[in-house]
Amino acid sequence: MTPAETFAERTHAQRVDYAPWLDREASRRALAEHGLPEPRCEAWRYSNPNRWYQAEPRPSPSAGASPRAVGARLVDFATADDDARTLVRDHLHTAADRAKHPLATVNDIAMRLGLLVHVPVSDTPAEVELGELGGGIERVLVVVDPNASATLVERPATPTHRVVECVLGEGAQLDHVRLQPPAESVEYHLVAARLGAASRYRLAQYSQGASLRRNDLHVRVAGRGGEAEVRCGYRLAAGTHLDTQVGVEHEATDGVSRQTARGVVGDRARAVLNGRIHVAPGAQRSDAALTTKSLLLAATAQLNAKPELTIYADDVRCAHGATVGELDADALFYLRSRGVVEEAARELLIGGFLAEAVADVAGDDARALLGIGR
Amino acid sequence: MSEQNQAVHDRLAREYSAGFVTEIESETLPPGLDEDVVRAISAKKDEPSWMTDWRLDAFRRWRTMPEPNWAHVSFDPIDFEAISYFSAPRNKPKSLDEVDPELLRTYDKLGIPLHEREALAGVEKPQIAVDAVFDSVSIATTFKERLRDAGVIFCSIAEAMRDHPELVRKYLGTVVPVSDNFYAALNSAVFSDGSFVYVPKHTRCPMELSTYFRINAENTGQFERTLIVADEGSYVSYLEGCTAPMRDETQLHAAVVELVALEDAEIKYSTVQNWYPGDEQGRGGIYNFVTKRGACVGARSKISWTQVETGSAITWKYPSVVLRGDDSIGEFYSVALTHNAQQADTGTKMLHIGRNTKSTIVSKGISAGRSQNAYRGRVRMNPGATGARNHTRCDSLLIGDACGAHTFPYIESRNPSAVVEHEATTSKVSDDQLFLCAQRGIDPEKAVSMIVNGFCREVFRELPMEFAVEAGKLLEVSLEGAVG
Repeated sequence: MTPAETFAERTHAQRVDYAPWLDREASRRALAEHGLPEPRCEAWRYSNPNRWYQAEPRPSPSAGASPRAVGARLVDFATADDDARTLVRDHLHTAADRAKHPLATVNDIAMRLGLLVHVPVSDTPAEVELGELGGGIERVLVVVDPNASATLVERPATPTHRVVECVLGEGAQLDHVRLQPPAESVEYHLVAARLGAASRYRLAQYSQGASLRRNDLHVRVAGRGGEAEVRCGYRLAAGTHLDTQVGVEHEATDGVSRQTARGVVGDRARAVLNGRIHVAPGAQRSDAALTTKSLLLAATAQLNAKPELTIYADDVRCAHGATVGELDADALFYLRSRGVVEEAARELLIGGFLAEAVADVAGDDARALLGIGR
Repeated sequence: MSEQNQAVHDRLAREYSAGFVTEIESETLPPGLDEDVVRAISAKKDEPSWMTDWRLDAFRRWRTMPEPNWAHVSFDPIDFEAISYFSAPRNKPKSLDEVDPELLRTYDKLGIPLHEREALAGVEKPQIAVDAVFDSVSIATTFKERLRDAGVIFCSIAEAMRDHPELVRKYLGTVVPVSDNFYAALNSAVFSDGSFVYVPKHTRCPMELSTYFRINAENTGQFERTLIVADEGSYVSYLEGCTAPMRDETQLHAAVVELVALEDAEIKYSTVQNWYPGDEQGRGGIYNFVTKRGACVGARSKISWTQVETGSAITWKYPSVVLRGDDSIGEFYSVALTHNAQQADTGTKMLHIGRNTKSTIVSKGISAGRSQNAYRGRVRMNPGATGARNHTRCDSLLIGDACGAHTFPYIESRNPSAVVEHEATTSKVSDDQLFLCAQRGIDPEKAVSMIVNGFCREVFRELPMEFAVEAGKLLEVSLEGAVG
């Protein structure tokens, strides 16, 4: 048996007593049907999932700062009342797809901590901050009511396995920031968002590397005229590995999406960057763009990028661009000729390069994490 | 029906013009594949024993290999036992004059000059040497004498094995190893014919070379193998064309093309692929599963692929360049058009190994009807590829709302000084352009064909002149019925 099969079997047999009211059967069936990804399969071409199976996602020992919310309701799945349970049942898995993200089914079955973030309509946008939750295998469900708006910041949180689902009602707005500090762990994360009509979702993720850190970011523009923006900025220190898979699916007409990624890869570090735009049949007048730029700083740095397009509608505007290279020697020379020492000149250029991926929300935190100045 | 409607109707009803069948006596092996079939093919070709062993090795490897399923295409599984792996016209000619008149008429109908004098008669037409492959065998090669005077060897691969075994043995399988992939292994086991070219040192091949492939027999597969070797400082331009009759059953075409460019050599390989694409409902047509790869072995060598793909029910093809020599150059220019129920998953691979190697990829995909058209490319910069550069541009054009256009570029960089740039766009024929044409009295069908031709100009520019004209016409015919 392969490690994937062994792990799937063990997960399948698990009986977790956390929030027993949750229906885990559909996930057990999906796990039995689809199995788990094997090494070298298309979705895991450049990262070895066996390392994750072998590392065994565990609850982390220290629970950090408890989550904080203004204008939103936070409910632990374990203590959810009927009202919250209904919300969870209605929205869980409306953004995440069990077949596309088989590791999310593991999260369903083995979840040790679940958190519902419910954002009702209010005059001022809600603010939510999630630190370390301490669950190890964690699930966050964010439900933004129609026309409500919120900011969600996930800060220094390094669980080994977190799935965040965001469901945006009609006209809702969500700014979602994820900060991933350096770690030595093996991690899998999924962010799945479903956008209602005329809603707006902006996701920014800033990462340093880990032993193996995989981030799947999956955005479905499901309602007419939905707008999605995904920014990824990362800086990989020596020997780390970061695998980022972004997928934006246009399922309805008049959707707009923008994906921007800027990455700096250091000595013996490996970066994987897959950006995908999918336009479903009938999603006419979709407007999607994707740009990824990467800098390799050392002879032993590796980058694997795949900007994909799958288009099934004709009246669309879709484009992508990708570049890989090193620091511009001319720019470096210019700064040196102005008396800037080499190290500072390089930092200045790297900072300028990464700044293109930094959004306004939690911008200072993002810059601090990426090690760049204002 | 008004006169105009009638005209449109007539054009829509026009069919694949190369879809006729030639009635000719042929010798065909019964369907099925085992070691005996491989031995029988080798025996029929009178091959040396090392070649038989090479084939058997490939066959044994093939049997252990899984069929690839990663391409963005879908089709019913192929029954490899239902295919006949060898079919040849019974009367094998000894020279051009002895070629069966029925065969000559076939090539005449297809517009391929197999008569040297005919080709000579056209003063303005540049001369082209042709190797014609009919089902499993090469039936004629023209202008052999003239080429021999220049030192160029151009013949069928079976002849080459007999007359130049040292060259064939030295290069065969060096670019595409027998176990490279499922279809290449199958080809290595059962390939029956194909062309062989050797251009000696510091020689510019005096004319364009071309191979014309024709599948005629029913229930057969065509597995040809092409090997082109350009020795130091030489240059050759090669063109490949292909057609097949219209049949309701699908037929398999699994070819292997290997190019070897030594120091300062240049190979230009152009393909106009017009296999039978199947009917509107997607019945029949050719499964074109081809492995094409060139190796820039020497420093400053260059390999350039240009392809115009309009035919085949399914295309699975990635002409690639391995840039081993320092300062070597790889190019890929492609137009792939799919219509009705056609599916294409095509693109290229550029593997940069040497220093300062450069590659350019220009891919234009056009989807119409209910077709699916995918570009799949891979650019890899190895740790030694210091100063290497790649620029990739792939554009897709959609005609109609039931088709699909997809892009899957893989970028793998292992060297910080290597620069990779990739850009892609997807759009439809713009209403503004159509309106402008309509204003000037150009009917929509003509306008679309004009716009598509403009969209593909970058690639057509790379084709030898006369084929560029041909390719333009082919697109026009293939797009018929796509508008309206």
